[in-house]
Amino acid sequence: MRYLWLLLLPSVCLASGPKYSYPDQPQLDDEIRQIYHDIRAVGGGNYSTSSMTLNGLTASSATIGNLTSTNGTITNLTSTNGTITNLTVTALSGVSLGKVRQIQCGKTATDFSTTNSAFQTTNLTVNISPTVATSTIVVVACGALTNNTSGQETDAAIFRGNTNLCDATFGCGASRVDATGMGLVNVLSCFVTGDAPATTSATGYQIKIKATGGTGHFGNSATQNMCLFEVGV
Amino acid sequence: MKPLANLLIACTIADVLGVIAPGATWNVRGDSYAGIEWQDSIQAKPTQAAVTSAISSCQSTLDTNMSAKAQAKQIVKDTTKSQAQRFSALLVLLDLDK
Repeated sequence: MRYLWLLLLPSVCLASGPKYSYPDQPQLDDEIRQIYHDIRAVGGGNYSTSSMTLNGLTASSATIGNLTSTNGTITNLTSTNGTITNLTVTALSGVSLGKVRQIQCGKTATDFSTTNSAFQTTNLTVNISPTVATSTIVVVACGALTNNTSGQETDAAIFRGNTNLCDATFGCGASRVDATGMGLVNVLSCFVTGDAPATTSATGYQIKIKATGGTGHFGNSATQNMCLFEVGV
Repeated sequence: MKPLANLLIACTIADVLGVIAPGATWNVRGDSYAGIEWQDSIQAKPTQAAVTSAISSCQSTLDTNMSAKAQAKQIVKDTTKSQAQRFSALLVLLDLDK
């Protein structure tokens, strides 16, 4: 009986012994066993924590609520199936991503006519507020352009405010009727130019037309359209 | 200058302004009197009554011409008509389509 406690010793040791049992690593103490357990759990594909500092984490399946970096650099963020969803970046630098930052379009069904030989503002105007001051604004506009008098032409130009982005005389395009008796001939005309407004303020682009003689028309019972593409350089 | 109504399908304010105020400088937005932006410093802006009257006259001439054109087309295709009648109708068509 005096040596009975020797028979009970193994069960006492087991009750206060290691929390995790890894037969291949029997010599680890409790603290190392805990870390060993964590690493094995992550390696096994299931791990959840509210706060953790990681270096060199590779997981086949992981959901991360907030992925941050104290030095502002996250390198090699990849996904084995090629999909990273809901990645929101508040500020991004040092990378070259998609170039079209925004598109603004507008249209009007209001015809515009003029006998003025200086450029006159039509009803086709679209505004844009560039997100970056260094962006290029690509302007594309289409509408029916015509003149009612043989030998005369109607010139159309793209303007940013009072700045003509096209040729001072001929604009970005012209419509001319030369054949006597043809009357009004609607010519679907499209105009394209690139502009660097160097601002993030609201900027308006308009189509203006002028007539060398007769009456110049823009629209003439057809809808006129314009789209602005903000493109990153 | 050709008769205005020969060139048109419908008469607009921009069309008739060129007739009642030839050479004047103006803009028109849409097709209403309110859309006229008068820029000429020599000629006065035509009154709304004058513009309305001019449009009415233009439309009347246009309608007459369209009717005459339709009638002439029928005569040209009508083999019961004399050759002289059909030739005359053809001249009318050519004249209206100049």
